[in-house]
Amino acid sequence: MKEQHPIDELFRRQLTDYQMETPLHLWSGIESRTRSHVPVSFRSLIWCAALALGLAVFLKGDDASLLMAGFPIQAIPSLPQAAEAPRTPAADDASIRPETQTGSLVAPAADPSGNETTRISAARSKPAQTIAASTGTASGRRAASSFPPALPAPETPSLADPAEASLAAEPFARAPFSELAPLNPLLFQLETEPIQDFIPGIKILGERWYASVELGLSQDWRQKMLSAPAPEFQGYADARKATESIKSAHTASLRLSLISASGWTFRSGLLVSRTTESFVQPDAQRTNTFHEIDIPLLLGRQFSFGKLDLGIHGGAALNMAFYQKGAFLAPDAEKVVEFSSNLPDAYPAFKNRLGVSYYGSISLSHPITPSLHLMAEPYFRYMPQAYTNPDYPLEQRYRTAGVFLGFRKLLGPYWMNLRP
Amino acid sequence: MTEQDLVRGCIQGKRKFQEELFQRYAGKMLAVCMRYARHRMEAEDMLQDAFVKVFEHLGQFQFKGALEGWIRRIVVNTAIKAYDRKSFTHEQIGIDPTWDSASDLPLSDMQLQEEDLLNLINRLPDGYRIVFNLYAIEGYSHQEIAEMLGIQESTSRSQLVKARKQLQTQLFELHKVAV
Repeated sequence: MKEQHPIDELFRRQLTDYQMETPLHLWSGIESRTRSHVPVSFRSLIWCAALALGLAVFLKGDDASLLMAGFPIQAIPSLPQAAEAPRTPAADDASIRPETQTGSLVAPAADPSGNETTRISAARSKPAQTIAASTGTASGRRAASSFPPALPAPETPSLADPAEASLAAEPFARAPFSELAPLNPLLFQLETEPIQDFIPGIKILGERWYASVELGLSQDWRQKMLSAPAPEFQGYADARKATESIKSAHTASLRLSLISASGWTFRSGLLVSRTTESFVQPDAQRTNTFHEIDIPLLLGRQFSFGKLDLGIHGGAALNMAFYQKGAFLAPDAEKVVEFSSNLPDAYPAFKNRLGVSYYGSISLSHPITPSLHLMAEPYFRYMPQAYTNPDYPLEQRYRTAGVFLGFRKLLGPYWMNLRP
Repeated sequence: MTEQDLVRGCIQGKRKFQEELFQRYAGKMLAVCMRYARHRMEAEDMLQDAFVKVFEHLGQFQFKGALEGWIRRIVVNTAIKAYDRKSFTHEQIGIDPTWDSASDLPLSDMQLQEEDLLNLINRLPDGYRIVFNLYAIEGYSHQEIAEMLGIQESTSRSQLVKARKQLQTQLFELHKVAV
């Protein structure tokens, strides 16, 4: 029994049950603060930064010359040279005739840059003039100088008359601008050999395959299921449910995909998931963290609808590691115990490897450059086995769903012709 | 409305029930906050923080004790977390801890209002005030206070002694003025 000091007694007697008037604004303040809201956590910002970094790395690796080929202004420097070249009837014929022999434009020997991918890609998407001008070859310059075909052949001005010379020179000055006028792509239907004849190498099971790398990040929705196989632990399960809640869940995915010309896909790579949960007590709050590393093995089909690719994938994810750290109520629900995959003497509630989970997803991708696609992939994952050890009185499972947002980088030189 | 109905309604997020719970206990809890805070505005902030926590964690209340006691614990914890540990270890004021004139003070005869006592407590340095509140009014032991505040038990004892001395001095002054 504590001794009662007279000072203590005076204050205790008068203040223990003392009440004060509460101003109205206090309740309004609490009301506004207890409205549900979605906090933007620092970790979410980190994920966004990682996504942006991934994008930057992908874009840096993309073919810059291919992107620049989309701008016809590149043709300007070659045009005066083309105008100076002597025009022959044969050259005129060749220049006004739509290109039927693409070999002259796309053959490896004709490209000083040696970038075959660029040439073929551009040849399939750009008018011959732009390609020719950008490659800088003589035949290309001729082709570039000849469009539009209505341009008159320049006459040599007389140097004796400056005014006349100026007027005569005008078509030369205007030529580059007039030649930048949009061209009718129908005039430049490229007759190519069947693309399959170009494709080197990757032929598996009678199919030609191409590859892509996919990077995606997902803010997940996770449902935690706690069940008690023995009825006497139902109260414990309820107590844990009352004290624990999922704060956030994210998954990062890095995969290599093989896609056949007929649309079959095989995907594998790495899935890294992070889940944080709150463990709350009246006086304190702790954060429990769980990390999973899985290898997905997915089969699927991919379909193209114009520029949009739709993929349906299903398979398994093999768990390689499960790390956990945190605390929860002990089975007697009276005290708190710590669990950790790194500490051997921590409470042994969880497994360190989980087994196989089911995985399914539907991917949608759309090209933002010819070899780089923006990708959205809703997915679900379910682990039938419990995350907990068999000795632990409860079984803890999760259902996970999310939407991967990220990028698909198509690999190899013939990607654009192999889209199924 | 019974306490159980009130708690269930609050857990379900019903505003009306939450407001009812707040109105039922806010007066007492504001007085608690006033004892821990330096001034009224700080006390009101503490009260709001505490009730936000109450609504967030009400699902953990298991009806094993009085709801008021459970809320008071949260309020007290919120209040003491508002102060840095330095408050409890580095505060020194010029009071001789051996001086004791409590026996000279006619405490039972003194007619002091609650507001006067709150004023006296509010004038104490942070560490003194918190230890005095926890020990003298809430009834915690020095061991419990030491655990709650993360300080030595001896620190808690010395802070209490110093708090009492300062209060005695202030009460003595009040008594002199009254006489």
